[in-house]
Amino acid sequence: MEEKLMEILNDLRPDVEFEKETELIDGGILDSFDIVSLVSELNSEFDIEINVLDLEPKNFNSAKAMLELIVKLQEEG
Amino acid sequence: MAFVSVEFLIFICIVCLAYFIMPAKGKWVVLLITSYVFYAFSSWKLLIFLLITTATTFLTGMQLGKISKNTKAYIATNKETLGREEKKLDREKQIQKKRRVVLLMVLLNLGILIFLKYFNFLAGNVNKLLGMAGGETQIPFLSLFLPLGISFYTLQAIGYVVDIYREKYEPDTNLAQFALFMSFFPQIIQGPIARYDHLAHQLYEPHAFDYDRVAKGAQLILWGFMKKLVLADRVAILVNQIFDNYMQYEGLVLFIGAIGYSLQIYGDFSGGMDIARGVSQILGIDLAINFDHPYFSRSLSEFWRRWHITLGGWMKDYVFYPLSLSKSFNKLGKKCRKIFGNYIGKKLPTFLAMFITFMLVGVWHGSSWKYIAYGFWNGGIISASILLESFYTKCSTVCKIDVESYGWKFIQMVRTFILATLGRFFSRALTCQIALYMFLHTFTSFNPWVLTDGTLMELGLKGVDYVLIFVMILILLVVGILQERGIHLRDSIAQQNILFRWFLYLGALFFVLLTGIYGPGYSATEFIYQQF
Amino acid sequence: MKKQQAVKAVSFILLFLIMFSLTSKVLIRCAEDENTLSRVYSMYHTERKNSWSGTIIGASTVYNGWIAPIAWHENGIALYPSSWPNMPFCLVLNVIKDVQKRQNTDFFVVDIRSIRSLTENYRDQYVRYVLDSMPMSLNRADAIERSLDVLEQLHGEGSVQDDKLSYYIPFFKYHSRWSDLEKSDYVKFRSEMKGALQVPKNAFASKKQKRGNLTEECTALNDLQAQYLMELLDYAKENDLRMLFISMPVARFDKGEQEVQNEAFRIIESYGYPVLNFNTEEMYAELELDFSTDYRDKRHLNSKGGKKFTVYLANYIKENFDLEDLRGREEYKDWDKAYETYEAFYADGWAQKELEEQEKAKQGEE
Repeated sequence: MEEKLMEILNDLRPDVEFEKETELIDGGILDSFDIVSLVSELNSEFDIEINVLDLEPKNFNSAKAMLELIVKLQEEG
Repeated sequence: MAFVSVEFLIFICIVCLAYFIMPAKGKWVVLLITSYVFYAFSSWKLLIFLLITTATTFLTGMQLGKISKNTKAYIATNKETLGREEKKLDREKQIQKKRRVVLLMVLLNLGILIFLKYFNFLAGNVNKLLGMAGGETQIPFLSLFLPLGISFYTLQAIGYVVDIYREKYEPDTNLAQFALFMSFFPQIIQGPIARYDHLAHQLYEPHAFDYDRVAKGAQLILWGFMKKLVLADRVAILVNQIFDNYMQYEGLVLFIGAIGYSLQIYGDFSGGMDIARGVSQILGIDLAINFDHPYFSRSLSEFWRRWHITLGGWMKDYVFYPLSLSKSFNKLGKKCRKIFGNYIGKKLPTFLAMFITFMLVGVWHGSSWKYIAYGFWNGGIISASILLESFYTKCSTVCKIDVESYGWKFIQMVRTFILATLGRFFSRALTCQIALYMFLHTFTSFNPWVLTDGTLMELGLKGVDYVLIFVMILILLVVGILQERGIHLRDSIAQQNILFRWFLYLGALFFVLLTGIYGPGYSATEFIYQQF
Repeated sequence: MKKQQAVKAVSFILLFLIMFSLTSKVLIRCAEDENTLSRVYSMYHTERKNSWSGTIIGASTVYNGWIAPIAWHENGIALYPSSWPNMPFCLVLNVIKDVQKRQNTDFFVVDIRSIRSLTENYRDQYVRYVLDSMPMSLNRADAIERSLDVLEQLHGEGSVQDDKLSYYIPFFKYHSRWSDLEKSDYVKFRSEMKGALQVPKNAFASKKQKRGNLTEECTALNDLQAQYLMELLDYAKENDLRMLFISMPVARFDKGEQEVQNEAFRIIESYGYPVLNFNTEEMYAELELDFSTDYRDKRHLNSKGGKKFTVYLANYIKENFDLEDLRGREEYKDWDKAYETYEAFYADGWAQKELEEQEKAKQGEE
């Protein structure tokens, strides 16, 4: 799962070092278009439904946080 | 009551005095009363609308809170007996209930806003259509007035209700305090559009007098006055001359008019924001910033993240994300991918959502076709830039351009400034037709001689005025660059010795008092965003 | 707030107010001509306190026609002119009150002709000329209120051009002058000749004037004129002022002007105050006024005519009012000097004029 996520992220923004970054939202690295593209990718890839409430900086500031979100949403079903 | 007026300065003094004298428990009441007094001063007949919105928003919040509580209680008590499916169904019902309540509130308040603001525009267009179809009946125009700040507080209220719906925080249980959140006077005229979780507690908590904080707030107010009186109102003379007599001018002169308006609206709006933030800071309240050196933006999308930040933020959280992440858009996305392939298909729904968002931003500014055109202009360019992103990257690698160099950044800033400025034709010109005319005629003639043949001296400004405008631009540039590097100017100045500080403050005061455009013979141009 | 902070804040505000006041003084330009500026400046800043025998109040006819050094030389009365272009009549009382703050006199000569100002002639600027030089006081505040009130009554509601605050704090009107300042704003001219007209172009201009018709008919005053005249007379009565109302000699009146004036005289006389109407055939003869040499336009005397007028009025005042002859006193040396300066100015001016006339005649021949 982690590999797939990294693939999607790097495909979206090849210029960003997703392994290292922890301020993706707060630092303005990912903008709202990136978010939306990312969310639709994640939704279709991992069969989850990320909704607006989940778009907190804390869920998207790092690749690790995103992974946690995906796991949580998959569990909730 | 205009911000830039002696009455307002006196008003602030009274408010601050009352606030600091009042014991802690009653401080927020001072803010509430003075906010309503301020509102009554400007628009007491239309106060009813603010009251309606405040009341309905508050009640909706309470109702949503009740629904959530009831459901949680129900599930908690019946944890054992309810199966997973039943829990899900119950949650669904809860969401439906909440949706209905929110919809009711939004329809009512948005309805009021749309009616008061757009009725005549819509009526006019319907009449045109009817006329074309050969009909005789005409919808009469109504003499409608806009309550002060309705475009701002309505959005603020909707944001609050949606946040409660999303269970971001608990609803407010004190109507009087909530009324303060909705009416706080520094932001009622032209924002910033506040978020409840950021602003409300600040308003309700008492803040003691703090000399340094008060001094810094006063300095910020002075800075706002400087931007408005020295720069904005001065360039306005030139802008008015060109836009009111657009037929007489062409080419570069029209573009200069647009550039002038870019400067004017920045000085006016951000100056007003500084005054609002300065007043709030004196009272110990931190308002959200609305401007972050927008003309340093390197792309139009970045521009909209630095200009009128709270509006963009509101649109993002309550329009763009909900739209683009909604189920229907998801479905649309899948269909597009099938038809247009992966690359474009992925981006199309985002474009649509973004286009809709910018159209709303445009329309929010005013009821006229020119604002719709404004939305198109911004939406169109930003879409194009997203589509062409990979193309641009390829180009820059081929041309061996260093995208991190100062030179390239500078070019991007100039390009963005030009794009934003061209859009200004639509926000300043009287009608869409005039805007298009001016836009096109900017390009139909190339007349650089107007810069030196004396034309500039016939636009209402004298040589000394141009000098002052350039001085202000320079000051803004220097301040902007310093702040972009993270320097907090008021703090660093406060650390200098007293002679330097007083020289600076007195200098700034007299700079505004002497060169400001105010007093008999000059009419302080009303804040451009006030009639929203 | 700590004591140190309070001290800092108060000192900053004080420093600001001082700078504001100084800058104000430079920026304010309470007249468009240097003559009025210097006369008014001297009135407030260089004239000694309690040195005047009295003052003569009116519009431009007064400072054109009344030559204070000549009167001084005649019989030692120190009568300084308090006059501004087109002075609004409703401000006469305020000027009297203001003068009384600095001069311990109760003798006032008023040119009733300025009553014509309370008609459609009334303008903001004329009010500002008087008010912008006056130091702030309750009297000045009252003057502001009444002038604006009159303005609204005469020109309709909302006709006040300048906002009230800029009357109270003239800085707000004049602040944009910062880019147009000249030497005369920093270095204020003084009047060397006790307020006498010192502009050669006007003092030595002479234009033959057609005579108008004189009449003794009376027409009623309008409400404002009546109101302010009564107010003035009542105040004079209550405060035991010695008043003399005159009508300075003109070549021609505007339509209806003399009739209103005659009515005003009638009212004044009914109050028991003396009037001196210079606009009768007898008076013109007494002054030996020559309408081809003594006027620069239909209203204003030049210095030749002014001398005649001043000598007559000075002697009239001497005979009818008990004013001390102040000549010979150490402290009044400046008035003696003013007379010498004036005589030199007068002689030079007319000599120069002679030369110019001869030049013109020569050129005409060629």
